[in-house]
Amino acid sequence: MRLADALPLPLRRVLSVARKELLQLARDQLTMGFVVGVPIVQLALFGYAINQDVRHAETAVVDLSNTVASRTLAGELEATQTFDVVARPATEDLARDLLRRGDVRVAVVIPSGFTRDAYRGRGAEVSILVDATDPTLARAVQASIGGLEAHLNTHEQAFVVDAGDATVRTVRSGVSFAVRPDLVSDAPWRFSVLTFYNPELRTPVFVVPALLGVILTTTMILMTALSIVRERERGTFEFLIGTPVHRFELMIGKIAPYVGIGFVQIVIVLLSGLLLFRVPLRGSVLDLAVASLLFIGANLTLGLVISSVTTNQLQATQLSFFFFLPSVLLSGFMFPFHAMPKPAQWLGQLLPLTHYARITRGILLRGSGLGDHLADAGALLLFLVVTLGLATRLFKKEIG
Amino acid sequence: MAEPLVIEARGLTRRFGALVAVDGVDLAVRQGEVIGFLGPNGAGKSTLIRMLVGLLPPSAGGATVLGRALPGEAERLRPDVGYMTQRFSLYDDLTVAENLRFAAEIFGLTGEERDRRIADTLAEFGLAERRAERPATLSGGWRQRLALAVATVHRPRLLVLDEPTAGVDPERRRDFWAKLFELTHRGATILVSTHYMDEAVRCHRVCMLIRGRAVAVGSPALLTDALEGRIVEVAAAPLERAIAVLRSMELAASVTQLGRRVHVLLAREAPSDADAAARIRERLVAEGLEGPRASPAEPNLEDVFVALRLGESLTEAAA
Repeated sequence: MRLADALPLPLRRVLSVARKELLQLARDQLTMGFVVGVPIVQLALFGYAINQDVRHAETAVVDLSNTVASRTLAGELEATQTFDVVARPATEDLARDLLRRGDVRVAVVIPSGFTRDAYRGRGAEVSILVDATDPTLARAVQASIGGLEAHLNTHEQAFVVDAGDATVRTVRSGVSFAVRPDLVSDAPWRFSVLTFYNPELRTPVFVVPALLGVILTTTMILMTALSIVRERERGTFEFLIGTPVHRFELMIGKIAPYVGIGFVQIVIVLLSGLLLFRVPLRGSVLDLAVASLLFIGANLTLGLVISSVTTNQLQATQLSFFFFLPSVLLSGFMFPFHAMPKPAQWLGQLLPLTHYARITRGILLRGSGLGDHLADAGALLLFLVVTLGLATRLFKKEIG
Repeated sequence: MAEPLVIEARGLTRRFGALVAVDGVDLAVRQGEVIGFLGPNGAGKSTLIRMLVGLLPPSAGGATVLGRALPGEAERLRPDVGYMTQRFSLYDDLTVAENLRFAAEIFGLTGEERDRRIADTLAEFGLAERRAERPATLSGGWRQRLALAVATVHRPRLLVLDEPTAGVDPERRRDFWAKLFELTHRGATILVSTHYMDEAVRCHRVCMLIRGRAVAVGSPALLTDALEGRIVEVAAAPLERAIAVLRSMELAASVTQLGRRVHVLLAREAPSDADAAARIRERLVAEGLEGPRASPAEPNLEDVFVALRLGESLTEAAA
């Protein structure tokens, strides 16, 4: 207290406003539940329920080669956990029937010359037929097979390493899988990148870093916007503007507590991400904190802007969601950013979540530093500066 | 009164779209005065008050309050003004003491001075044993007392109260006014709006507002003296029928019930006061009313107000 008393008046007033805000927050159990509950619920929701991992797809294996190598291959397929071999039909036609009836979702056809071709270096081709009515399944199979292919090729290389230079090279590219395009969606193969950082292609690992931003977006914008609009609605704003508190002091005092709350949420998400889904934090905590501060600041000032142009809590909520939905849809959180149409990508670039999600994925999963994400960090800073400018213009000590 | 001017308003006007809420109000208030704004709902009381505390910029005209030119120096005026809003505007989720503390800090009080001032204010307003309660649980009277405590915790030179006693019982209203006069003894100037006549009478001066215009300004005695309209006080039973009869009489410009009596504002063309009273009595007897009495009476503030609303004028009052 002594220290606070020695501060200059504007700072003391900022502290008073922040203290008042925290007192009110602490007594608002619903909102406090919101702060803690939303991250955990969303994490569980996206981590478990909207899990896009494909596991144990019913698979028919047609082994026309029937050699040790082909049987090993079938075993390797099952080992990926993507495939559950439930049928071993004698011919490809029978396998196609199973596929058509929906008894299996994947059919693997190992040709009779498989082993011979593999060792002669001609390139052994295994056909995989996927029921592409479920694009998620098709993508998952492609990704899984990509991983398996890479694994097998390196594995086989070691197996024949003393057969001479020429042999090594041919064998390296020897085993290849061709996914029949007529039955499979022609989505580009991106698994080489994905498998590197998320070798098991687990959705939570990919989702959690971006989810951090999604959660902060919801709570930060809404909470600041509501905390100010609520004062307008309840009439306390008229008391505030009748006092000598400067509008900047009011703005800062209002958002300061939420910076702290934002970091509490980050810790909750990271901890539950680690405990529930083993999502790592490979990069520097400090870099993450700096990026998060920029992102939280951008969202809080946006909340201020929203509170300045709305007069009641319903309007503020609607306007927040008007911003929140594109953030979820266009930031690369829901759909792969580069797979979106160009105009959607341009819109996405305007959203702070897009940039924050890239930074958090980098820092959490790839162990990159803030220096590797200067463009994204700059975009966040720019957004913060622009919304801050808007907020200082729009936020007035006036009766609505 | 040689006291310095605290408020000086010149042609203060505020428009909301096509509506002229306050229309060219001139006003001079001296230090230590209690000035009341009297007028019906929608007369522009709150708008005028908000302009005078610098919360609302005027559409035209200007004012100097405590030496600060409005609207330009509104923010510099704030530390010296205590403003109690019409609607309760304190935090329902903070306790009585926390509300006081927040206000004290926002007005720049700190350390021991702040703590002492909060303790003094709690004691002064009898709020000490309710310090840990939330305003939401307090009765209307206590909430209003808290609002006044908060508005005065920084010892403002000008206290502005917008209908402070709306919805408060008469007993509490009396306490409240006693409190206000105590504050003027410390040198505070008080500006208070009301639509209670009994409160307006307590003010040093009253400013009557009708449709945004200050139609009369003066002490209650001056205003009632200046009324040109004449009043006949009537009593009869049953009163409702008497009122109906009076309203049908051409000599009555307006009929106002005051408890068990009725004040009749005589029309300009009515005969002399005594004749008018006699004619009223005759008519009431003819209508079969019991115990009719009618005699010329001194007008009160409400009569003035009614007369002004009907377009009557005051002699030399509007100062």
